[in-house]
Amino acid sequence: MTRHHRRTVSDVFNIEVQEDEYASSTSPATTHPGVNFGGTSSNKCSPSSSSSDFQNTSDSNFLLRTDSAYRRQYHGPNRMMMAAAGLEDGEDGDLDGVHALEEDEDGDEFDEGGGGGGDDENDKEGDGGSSQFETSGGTDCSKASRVAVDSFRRWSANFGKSIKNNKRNMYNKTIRFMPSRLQKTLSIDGDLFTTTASDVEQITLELEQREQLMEDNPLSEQLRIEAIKSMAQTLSIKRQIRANLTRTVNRRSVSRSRSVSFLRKCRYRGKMYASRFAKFAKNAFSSFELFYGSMKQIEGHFGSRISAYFKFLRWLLVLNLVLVIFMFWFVTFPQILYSGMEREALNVTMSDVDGLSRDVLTDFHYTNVFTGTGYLNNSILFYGFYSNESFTLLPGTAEYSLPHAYFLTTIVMYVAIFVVVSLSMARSYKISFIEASGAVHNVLTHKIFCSWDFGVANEKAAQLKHANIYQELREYLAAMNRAERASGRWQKLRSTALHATAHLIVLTLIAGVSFGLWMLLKQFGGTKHFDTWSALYVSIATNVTMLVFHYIFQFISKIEDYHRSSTALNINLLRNFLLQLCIVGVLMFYWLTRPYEGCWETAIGQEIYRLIVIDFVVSVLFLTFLQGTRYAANRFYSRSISLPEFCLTSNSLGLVYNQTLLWFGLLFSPMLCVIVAVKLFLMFYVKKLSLIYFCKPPSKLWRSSQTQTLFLVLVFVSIFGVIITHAYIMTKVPVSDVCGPFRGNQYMYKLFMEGILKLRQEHIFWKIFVYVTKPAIIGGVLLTMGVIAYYLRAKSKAQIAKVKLLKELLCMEAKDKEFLLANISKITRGKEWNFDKDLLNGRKNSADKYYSDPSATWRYADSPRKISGNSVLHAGDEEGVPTSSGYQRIDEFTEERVRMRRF
Amino acid sequence: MGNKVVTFTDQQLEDYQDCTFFTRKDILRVHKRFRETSPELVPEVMTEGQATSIQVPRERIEKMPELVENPFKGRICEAFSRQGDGNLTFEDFLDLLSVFSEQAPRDIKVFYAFKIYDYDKDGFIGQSDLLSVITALTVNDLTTEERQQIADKVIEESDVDGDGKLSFLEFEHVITRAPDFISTFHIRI
Repeated sequence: MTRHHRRTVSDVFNIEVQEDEYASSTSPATTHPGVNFGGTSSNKCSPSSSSSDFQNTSDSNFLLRTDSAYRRQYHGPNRMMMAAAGLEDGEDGDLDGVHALEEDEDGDEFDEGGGGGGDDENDKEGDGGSSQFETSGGTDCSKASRVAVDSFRRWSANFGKSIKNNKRNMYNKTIRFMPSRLQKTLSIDGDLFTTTASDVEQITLELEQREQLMEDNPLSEQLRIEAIKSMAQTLSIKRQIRANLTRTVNRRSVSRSRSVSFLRKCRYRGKMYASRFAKFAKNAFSSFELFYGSMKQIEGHFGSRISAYFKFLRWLLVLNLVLVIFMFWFVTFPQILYSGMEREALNVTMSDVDGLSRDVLTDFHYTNVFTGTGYLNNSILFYGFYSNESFTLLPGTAEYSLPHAYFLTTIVMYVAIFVVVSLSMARSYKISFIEASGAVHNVLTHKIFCSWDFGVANEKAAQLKHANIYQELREYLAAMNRAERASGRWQKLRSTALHATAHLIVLTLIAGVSFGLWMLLKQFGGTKHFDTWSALYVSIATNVTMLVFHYIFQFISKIEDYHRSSTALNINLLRNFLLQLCIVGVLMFYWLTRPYEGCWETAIGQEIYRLIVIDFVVSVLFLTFLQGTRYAANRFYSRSISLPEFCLTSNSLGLVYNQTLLWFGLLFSPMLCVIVAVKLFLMFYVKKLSLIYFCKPPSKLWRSSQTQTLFLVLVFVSIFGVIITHAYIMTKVPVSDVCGPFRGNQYMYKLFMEGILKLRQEHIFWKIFVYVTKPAIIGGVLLTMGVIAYYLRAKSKAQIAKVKLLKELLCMEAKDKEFLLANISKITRGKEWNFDKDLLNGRKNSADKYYSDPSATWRYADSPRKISGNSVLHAGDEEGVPTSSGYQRIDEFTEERVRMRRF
Repeated sequence: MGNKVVTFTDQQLEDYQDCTFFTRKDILRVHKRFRETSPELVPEVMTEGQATSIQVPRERIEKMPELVENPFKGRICEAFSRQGDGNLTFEDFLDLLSVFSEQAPRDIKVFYAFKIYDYDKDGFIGQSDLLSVITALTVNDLTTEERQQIADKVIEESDVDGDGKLSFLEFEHVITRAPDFISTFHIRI
C-alpha cells in the first residue's frame, strides 16, 4: 500500500510534467492546480489514496527523475531531522534504474525493480516525515505551507515553459532540450546557485536521453557542443559533462560500429572536416575584425549608441570592399592588361587620337583630384576608358569579352547588394520591431534593467550615464505624478496647427531648394566649364545646402516641441532624407534629360565623383575643423561656449547619401567604389578623432536599435531607387557611340540579350519576356503580393489578440493560485475552511484588489458546499476520502470560463 | 612573435573553446586580461589545476578597466564566483566574459542578468533588490520615496502573478522583449 502511495505521487507529477511538455494552449493548464495540489497534499499529509497505473515508458523514466530531484528539495527540511540515508539510497536506486534502461534493451524490468526499490526507501522516509509532521504539529505549519508554495511555483514555472516551448517550434532541436532549461526550472525553486556533483550526473543523464545529441556524427557533436555552451553552469561542470558525454558516445559507437557502412563513414568524415574547417575559418575571421581597438575605445567612452554609427560605417565599408574586389578583378584588371598590350601595339603604329590621349595622360594637375577631369578623364576610373573588344590575355586561352564582363559584374553586384541590404533590413526590423512589440507597457522595467550599458569603461562616460538615467527617471516620475497634461481642445488644435505649419514650411523649403537647383543647372549646366574650379559649383552648392538645411530643420523641430523626443528625431531624420532624395533626384533627372552628346556616361561619372569628393571635404574635414575651433574656443577662450555634440542623425544620413551616390555612379565609373572605400576608411579615423577629442556625448538617450533599423530602411529605399533608375537607363537611354564598352549597341541591355542569349525578336524566350512584362501580369503579381501581405497582417493581429487573451488567463490563474494559497496557510494553521467574516476582512486588509475583484473563484467561495478535503486538514486522518473533488469543481468552472471566452 | 610560451595545452584550449563562446585567440586574450589584474598571482603557464584553484580577490577584478565603472561590478563578481564570495578563478573569469560576449545567446544572458540583479539571492527580484538596483543606477540622487515609487511601478508593470516580486520567468518575459538588452549587456574584451 505504501508503495502504491508513492506511485500515485509520482504519477501526479508525471501527468503534470507530461502535460506541460505537450501542453495545448489552455485547457490542461487550467486543470493543473487541482491535480498538482491534490497530489502534494496527499503525499504530505494523508498517505491513503487510490492508486493508478504506472506507465513505464522512457519518458516517464525521465519524469520520475525530475520527480525525485524535486522530492529531494522538497524533503530538505525533514532531512535535517532524521537519517538522510534512506533518501539518498532511494535516489541512487532511481538513477540505477535509469542506467539499467540505457544499457540494456530489457530496461523496463530493471527500471521497475530499481525504481521500486528506490521508492520503498523513499516511502519509509516519507512516512517518517508524516509522523514527524504529526508530532510537531503547529511548528510545521509554515513548513507545509512552504511546500505548497514550492509546488505551485514549480507548476507556474512549468506552465510558462510549456507555452514558450509551443511558441518556439524552430528552436525545438536545441533550446527546448537544453539542460539549462530543465536545470533552471529545477533550481529556480530552491537554491539558484547549487552546483554539486549530482548535478553533473543529472544533466549528463538528461542529455544522454536525447538520441539526437548522442549520435556519433559531426552534426550531433555540433548540437552537443551548442547544448553544453548554452548551459547556465560553471565551466568546470560543463567540462565534466562534456567529458562524460564523449565517453558515452564513444562507448555506444563501439557497440554499434558494425552498422556503419563505408559510404556513411565517408560522409561523416566529410562533414567532420567541413565543421573543422568552419571552426578554423571562424577563428581566422575573428582575428581580422576591423577596427577592433577603436570600436572598444568608442564604446567605452560613449556607449553603444554612438558605436552603432561606427558599426554602420564599418558595415558599409566591408560591403564596399567586397565590391572593390569583384569590380577590380573582373573589370578593371583585364582592362589594365589589355591597355598594356594595346600600348605595345601602338608603339609600332601611332594614330592621331591615341597621340592626343597620350598628351592628356602626361598632363596632371592637382585640381583634377577634385574635378575628376583632365588626367582622370580618360583613366580606369570612368566608363569611357573601357574597351568594347574581346581579347585573349594569354595566347591559347579563350577570349575575354570586356563588355560582357562589365555588364554582368555590375548587374550581379547590384542584385547582390540589393539582397544583402534587404535581408539585413528584414532581420533588423524583426529584432527591433516585431520581437519587441507588445511590451510598450514595460517602459520603466526596461529602463531599470536595460539602460545601464555594461560596455562603458570610462569614468566621465559612466558619470554621464548615471546622470542620464537619473534624469530620465525623474522625468518619468514627473510625468507620472502630474495629472494628464492640460490638453484641452484648444491646446490640441494649437499643436496640430503648429505641426501642420511646420510640415508645410519644410515641404515648401524642399520644393524651393529643388527648384533652385534645377534653375542653377539650367543656367550654368550648358556652359563649358571643364578643367577649372568652376566645375565644382554644383557639388559645393548641394553639399552646403544640405548642411545649412540640417540646422534649419533642427531649429524647426525645436520650435515644434514634440511630446516625445523619438518622434522629433524620426521626423527630423525623414525630412533630411527627403531633402537629400530631392536633390539627388533633381541631379539625376537633369543628367538624364540633357541631350546625349559625347561621352555622357563619363560626364555623369565625373559629376558623381565630384559630389563624393566634395562631400568628404565639406561634411568630414570642414565639419571637423568647425568642431575643433569650437573645442578650442571652449578650452582657451570661454567656458560658456559649449562643446559640440556628435550628431548621430546627420552623420548617419551622410553615410546613406554617400552610399546612394556610389550605387548610382557604379555603372558609370567602376572604380568609384575604391574611392568610396578609401573615403570611408579615412572618415572612420577622422570621425573617431573628432568624437574623442572634441565632442561631448549626446545628452539625449534614444533607442539605438530602432534608429539603426530606420537607417537600413533608408539605405534600402535608396538602393531600390537606384536600381529602378538603372533599369530605365539600360533599357531606354541610348548609349554613346564614341566611348565605353557598350558602343555599337543601341541600348545597354541589348548587349546581354543579343550577345549572350543570342536572342532575336522571334525567339521563344523573348516572347515570354515580353509577355511577362505586360502590365496585366505585373499588376496581378502585385495584387497577389498585396493579398498575401494582408493575410499575414491579419494573422499577426489575431496572434496579438491571442497573446492578450492568454495574458489575461495567466492573471486569472495567478489569482486562483493566490486564493488557494491563502486558504492553505489558513488550513495548516489548524482552522476550518469556512468563509467567516474575519477571514474575508483579513483578506480585505491584506490585498484589497483580490477581494474587490469579482473573480470567479471568489464568488465560488461563498457557495454553501463544504469542501470534502477534511482529510487535508487533519494530517493523520487515513480515510480514503477523495481529496481533490473540491478543486475539481473549481477547475471545471475555470475550464468552462475559458471555453466561453474562446467562442 | 618571439614569445613562444604555451599558456594552455591543446586539450585545455579545445575544452574551453567548446564550453564558451570564444575562439582560441579570445581565450588567450582573456588570459592576458586575467593576468593583468594581478601578475604576481597568475602564472603565465596555466595548468589544469591552476585554472580552477588560483583565485584572484574580487578587489582586483573590480579594478579591471572594463568593470571599474560598472555599478554592478560587485554583483557580477559574486554571480560568477564559485563560492559566491566574488573571488574568481580563471575559469570563472572566462565564464564571465563568455556570457558577456557578443556571441552568447539571449537566454544565457538573461539568466545571468537575473542572478546579478537578485541582490539578496532568494531567487526572486523583490522590492529590496529593485531598490538596490535603482540606487546603483542613480548614485543616491533620488529620494527614498521616489525610489520606492519607481520600484512599485516596476513591480506593477511586470509582475504577472501578483506576488509582489519578479520571478525568473517574469523577468525573462519582460527582458526578452527589450530590444536594447542584448546590445547593452555586453562587455568587449
